[in-house]
Amino acid sequence: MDSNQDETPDIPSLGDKMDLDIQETATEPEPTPTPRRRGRPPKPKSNNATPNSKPALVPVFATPTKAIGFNAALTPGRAADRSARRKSARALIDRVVGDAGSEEEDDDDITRQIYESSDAGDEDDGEDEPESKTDGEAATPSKPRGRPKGRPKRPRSPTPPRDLPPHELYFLHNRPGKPKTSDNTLASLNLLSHDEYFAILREHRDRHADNIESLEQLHAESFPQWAFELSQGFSICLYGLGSKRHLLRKFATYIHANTKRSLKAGFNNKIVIVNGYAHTTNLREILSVVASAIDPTQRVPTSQPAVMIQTISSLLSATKLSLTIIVNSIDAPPLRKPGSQAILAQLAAHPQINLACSADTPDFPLLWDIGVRSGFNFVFHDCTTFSPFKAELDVVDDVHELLGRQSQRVNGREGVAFVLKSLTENAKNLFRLLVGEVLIAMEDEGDDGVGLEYRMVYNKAVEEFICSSEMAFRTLLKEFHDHQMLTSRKDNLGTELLSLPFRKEDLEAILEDLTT
Amino acid sequence: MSNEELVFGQEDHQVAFVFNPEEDEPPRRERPPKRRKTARRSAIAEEEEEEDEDGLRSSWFAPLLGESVACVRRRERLLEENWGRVDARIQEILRDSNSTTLDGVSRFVREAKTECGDKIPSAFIITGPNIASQDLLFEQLSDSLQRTSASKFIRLRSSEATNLKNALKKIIQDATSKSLVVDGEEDLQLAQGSGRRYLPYDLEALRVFLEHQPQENIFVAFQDSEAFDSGLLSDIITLLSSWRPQIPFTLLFGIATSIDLLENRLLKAACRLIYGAQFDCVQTETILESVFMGTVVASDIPLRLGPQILRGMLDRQRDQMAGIQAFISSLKYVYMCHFYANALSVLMAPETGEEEAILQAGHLEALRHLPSFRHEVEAAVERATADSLEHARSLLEDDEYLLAQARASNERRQDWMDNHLRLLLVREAAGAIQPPFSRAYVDSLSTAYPRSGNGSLTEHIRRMGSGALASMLRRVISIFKDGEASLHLKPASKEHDTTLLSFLEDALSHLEKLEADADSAGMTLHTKYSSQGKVMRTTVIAQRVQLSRDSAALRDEDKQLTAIVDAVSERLTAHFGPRRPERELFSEAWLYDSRSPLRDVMVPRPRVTFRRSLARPYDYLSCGCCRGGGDNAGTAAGGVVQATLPAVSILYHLYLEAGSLINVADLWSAFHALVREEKEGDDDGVADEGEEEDDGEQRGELRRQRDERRALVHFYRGLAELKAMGFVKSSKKKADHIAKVRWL
Repeated sequence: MDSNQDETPDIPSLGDKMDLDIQETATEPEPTPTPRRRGRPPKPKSNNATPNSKPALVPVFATPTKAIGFNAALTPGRAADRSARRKSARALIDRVVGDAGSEEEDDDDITRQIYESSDAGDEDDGEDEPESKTDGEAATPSKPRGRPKGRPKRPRSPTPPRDLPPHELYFLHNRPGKPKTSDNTLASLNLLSHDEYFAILREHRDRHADNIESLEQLHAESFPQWAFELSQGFSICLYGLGSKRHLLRKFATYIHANTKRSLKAGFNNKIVIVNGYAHTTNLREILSVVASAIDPTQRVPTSQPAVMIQTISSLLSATKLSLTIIVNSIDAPPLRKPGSQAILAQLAAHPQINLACSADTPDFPLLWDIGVRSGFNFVFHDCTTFSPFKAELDVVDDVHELLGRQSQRVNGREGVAFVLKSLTENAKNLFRLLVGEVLIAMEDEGDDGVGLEYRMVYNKAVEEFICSSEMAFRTLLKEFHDHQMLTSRKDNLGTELLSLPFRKEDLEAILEDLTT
Repeated sequence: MSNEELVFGQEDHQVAFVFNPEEDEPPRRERPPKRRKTARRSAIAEEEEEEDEDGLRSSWFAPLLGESVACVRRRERLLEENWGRVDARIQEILRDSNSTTLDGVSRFVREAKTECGDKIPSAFIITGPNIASQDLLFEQLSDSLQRTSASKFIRLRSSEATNLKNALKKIIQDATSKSLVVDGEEDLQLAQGSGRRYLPYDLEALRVFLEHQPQENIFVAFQDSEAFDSGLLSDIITLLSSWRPQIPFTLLFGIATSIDLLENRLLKAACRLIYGAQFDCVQTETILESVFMGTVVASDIPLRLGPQILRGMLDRQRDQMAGIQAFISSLKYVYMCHFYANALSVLMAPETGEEEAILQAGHLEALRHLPSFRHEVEAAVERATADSLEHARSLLEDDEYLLAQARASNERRQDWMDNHLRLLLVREAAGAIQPPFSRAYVDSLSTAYPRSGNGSLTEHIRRMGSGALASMLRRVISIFKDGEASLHLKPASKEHDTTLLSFLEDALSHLEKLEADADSAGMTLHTKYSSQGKVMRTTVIAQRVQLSRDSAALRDEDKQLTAIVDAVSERLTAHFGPRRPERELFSEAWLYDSRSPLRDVMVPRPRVTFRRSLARPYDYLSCGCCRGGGDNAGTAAGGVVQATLPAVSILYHLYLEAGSLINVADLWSAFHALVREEKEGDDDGVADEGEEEDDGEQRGELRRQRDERRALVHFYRGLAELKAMGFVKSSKKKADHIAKVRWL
C-alpha cells in the first residue's frame, strides 16, 4: 500500500514523465523534407546509421541484412570498409536500375546523397558538425577510394540533422538567408465560412469522443481531493491540452451540491464563474459580478479595480459567506493585461474566497511573479482533456487572422466602438451617417456590394455640419481607412464608392451603439 | 460530439456570472445528452446522500481501506491539530525574526520627530529580493507602529498607485477609513465635517479629519518601491513633505535592491527633502533556517519528513528563490497528503480509552504489509534468539500483539527522533557538521555517518585540544541533561542515556583536574593525536641545516588525556548506532517521504505535459487506433504519423518538421494527404457496391469534396488551437505563411 502517493491519482502515470520525455526526444519523427514514398522497400543505405546513433532512431532502414553490413563497416580494417561500401553501392545500383524511369526524382536524390556523403568524408569540412554526423559519413573511418569526385564545393545537405535539442533547432531554423518554402498559396482553396464550419462540425462525430469522455471522468474522480485542497486555502490551477471548461463546470456543480448539504444555515457558499476567454472580459465586470454575488442589494460603484477590491473584501469580511471563484482560461489574452493577475491574486488571497482556474497555454506560469504566486497559493494539476475548445476559440476568425485574410479590419462592433472612442465628435457623427446610409442602401439594393457615392456622402456631411471643406472630410475618412473600417473603390465610370466592410447585423448593432 | 453541445449557452460568452445549477437545470433537462449527465449527477448526489446520513460529508476526506467514519474524522482532526501547532509556531518564528527591524524602525520614528527639522522622515527597509515576504513584514510594521503610538498606517502598492491622484485617494481613504462616507465616485464628505465636500484626492480633507482625530503619525509605506514610477515617487515625496507642517507624514520604503538605485531614480529636489535611515531585514535564508528548525527538525513535531522530500524543498528554495511562503505551503501540502491519503496516520496520536477500538481488520492487514514490518520480522528471525523468534511469530499471528506494537510506535518514534537529534547536536558540538544545520539534518537522514576514519566523530574528537574537549564535554552533558530549547528537545531519561551521562561527567571532572594540574605545573597538555606531539628538530652541522622529526615523549598527563579522548569518542560512537528512520517499525505512520505529488503539484512542468499530449495523445486517450503499428512502443512515435490522431496533434507533428516559416498551403496539403489516406482505407469496403460506373464516380467526386471540407474543418480547428497555445503567429514575409514561434 503506497498510500503516500495515492494523493494524486496519476493520469497515465505522470510519475515517470521524465523518462518518457527523454524517450520521446529520442524518437521524434525525423524532420526530412526529402520526399520519401511510403511502402517502398528499405533503402540499402548502410551508411545511414552512425556508430553513435541509436538503432531505434532509424527504424525505416533497420533491416537485418543491412545491420550486418553496417557492423562490417565498423571494423577498423580498411578492406572490410571498402567491401561494405561496395556492397551497398551495388545494391543501390541494382535498385536504381530496377526502378529506373518511375522514380527519376528519387534516383537523383539518392545519387546526390551518396556523392555528397563521400564529398563530406573527403573534404572533412567541419562546417556543420551534427549534420555530417547524422548524415552518416562518420561511419566510414577510411577515405573512400576510386570514387568520382562530385562538385568540389557542394551546397549544404538538404537533410536537416535529427534529434537536435530545441535550442539548436532554433538556431538551425533561424539561419540567415531566405526561408526555403514553396510559393504555393491557398488561392485555389475555398476558405471556410462560419456557417459551413459549424454545419460540418455538427455532423461530425469525433472518433475519440468516448476516450475523451472517460478521460474527463478520470479527472472528475479527483473532485473530493480538489475540494479538500480548496478548503485548506490553496487555489487550484488545472493545465494541459484541451478545454477544461466542462470539467470545471462539473466541479462547480460538485462543490455546489456538497457544500449546500453540509453547511449550516447562515453559512453560505456561492460560486462565480468567470470566462477569461470572452473578448469583453475585464476586471471591472468580474469584480462587480463578484460583488453582486456577495450582496445583490448593495451596488459597489464601478471604479478602479484596486479600489473595488477593497470594497469587496471589506464587504465579504462582514458576511459569513464563502465564495468560490472559477476562472476559465486564466491565461487568456483579456486577462494577460498587467495588473489583472495581481488583482485576481488579491481576491484569491482573501480567506473566504477559493479560486479554481484553468490554463490553456504551455507558458502560463510566466504570468505570475513571486508575489502574485504566493497570493494565489496555487496547487497545479495536470488535466489534459483533449476536448475541443468550443466556446473559447473562434476558430474560423482565428485562422483567417493567422492567414492575414480580412484580419486587418478592426474587430467588429467592439473594435469600432474602441476606435471611435478616441476620435472627435465629428468623426463619430460622420461614421453614424455612413452606417445609416449604408443600411438604407442595403434595404433598397440587397445586402452585398453596397457602395455609397463619395459626393453624396460629402454633401450630406456638409449638410449636417460635420465638416465644412472637402479637405476636412478627407481627413476624417482617412482615419476610418487606417483602421479598415471603411473601404473605397472606383466603379466603371470612375465614381468613387465608399462601403463598410461589415455585415448587416453588425452595422445595425454599431448604429445602435452610436445612437445611444 | 452531438449538435446539442454545439449550441452555446448564454453563459458561455458571458464574462462572469453567479453559478447556480438549480436555476440552470430545468431548461437543460429537455436535451437528451444533458439528461444523461444530470442522471449521472443525481446518481452521485444519491450516493452522497447515503454518506450524508453517516454524517461524513462535512469533510472532504474519503474513507480509505474501508475504514469507518470515526477513522476518517480522526485523520481530519489530526491534520487540524498537527498543522495548527506547526502553523502557530511558524507565525511565531516569523514574528520574532522581524522583531529587530521593527524595533529599529519604531525607534527611528520616535527620534526622527525631533531631529528631522523640516525634512520628511523616511525609513528605508532593505527587504531583499523576495517580494512575497514583504507583505508579512509590512503587516507587522503596521501592527507594531500603530501599537506604539496613535497613528495611521497606509500601505501603497505599485499596482494600486498608478498615478498621483490614485495614490492620494488611497492615502486619504485609508487614513480616514473608519469615519468616511464614500459618496458616489467623485467627492467625499467627512461625516463629522462641516458639511464641506472635498475632492477625494484633496489632502485638505485629511487635514480637516485630523483636526477631529489627532494622530501622532501618518505612515505611508511604499511596499515595492522599485515598481513605482520614479516621477510619481518624486511627486508624492514633494507633495507629502510640503504638507508635513499640517499632517505628520512619515514614509517607509520597502527596497529589494539598494538605496543607491532608488536615489538615482528620484529627483534631486525630492531627495533633499528626505531625512532617512536604512534598516536591513533578516535575509530569507536565516528565516528559512529557523522555520526549518522549528517545524521540521524540532523534537516535538510528530510528523517527520524524509530526506528526499526535504532535499527537494530546500533545493527549490535555493534554486528558484521561491520564498518562505512557498516553503510553508509545501509543508502544509505535505501534511495534507499524509493525513488525507495515509490510512495509517490514525496511529499518530496517543489513543485514549474510547478510541481504542478504532482500528479495523483492514488496518491490521495493512500494517502487516508495510516494508518496515517486513524488515522487523526478518531482522528478528535473523537474530534467531528465542525471544526474537517469539516476537516475530507474535507479530505475524497475534493481532493483539500487533496492536500493542502499533500503539507503541509513537514512543518508538520519539525515541528514535531524540536519539537522532542528540547525535546531530553532539556532532555539532564536536565540529563535525557543516554550518547550515538544515542540510546536515537532511543528509544525516539519508546517509549514515562513518564509524571511523574521515568525517567520523572519533576523528573530530581526536583533533581537539584539552580545552576544546572540555567545552565539548560540557555541551554534550548539557544536551543530555537539559535538552535543547531551540529544538524542543527534552532531557534524556533512558537508562543507557543516564549511564552515558554519568560516564561523561566523570570524564569531564577528570579532565578538569588534569587541566588544573597542568596549569599549575605550567605546561600544556597533548594527546598522541595532536600535532604538537611531534617535535621538529633543527640541527646545524657543518653549516647545513638538518630537519628531523621526533615523536615527543608523552608525559604521564598526556597519556591520561589520550585515554580520556579515546574513551569519550568510543563511548559516544557506540552510543549512537546507525538507525534509519524508515527501518523503525511502523514508521510509515509518521514518516512522509514521497516527492511525487508535491513536486508535480507545486512546480508544474506544463511544457513537458503539453509536448507529451501533443506528440503522443494515446498516452492520455488510451485508444488503440493511434498507437501506430502497435508492434512496439519504441517505434510508435518515431515512425509515421497516424491519421487518426487528433487534428492538433497531427499538425504538431508536421510543425516539428517545418522550419521557422511555414507555408500554410503546403501544411494543408500534407495534412489532407495524411487524412485522406486514412479515409480511403476506411471506405474501401463500402465504396463499390454494385453501383453504376459513372454514377459511382460522380458520387465519389462528391464524397471526395465533402471529405475535403471535413478535413479542412479539422485543419482549421487544429491550427486555431496551435495559435491559441502560442505555437504559431501570422507572418507577413510571404503570402499564406505563418511563423513558428516555439521550439519546445
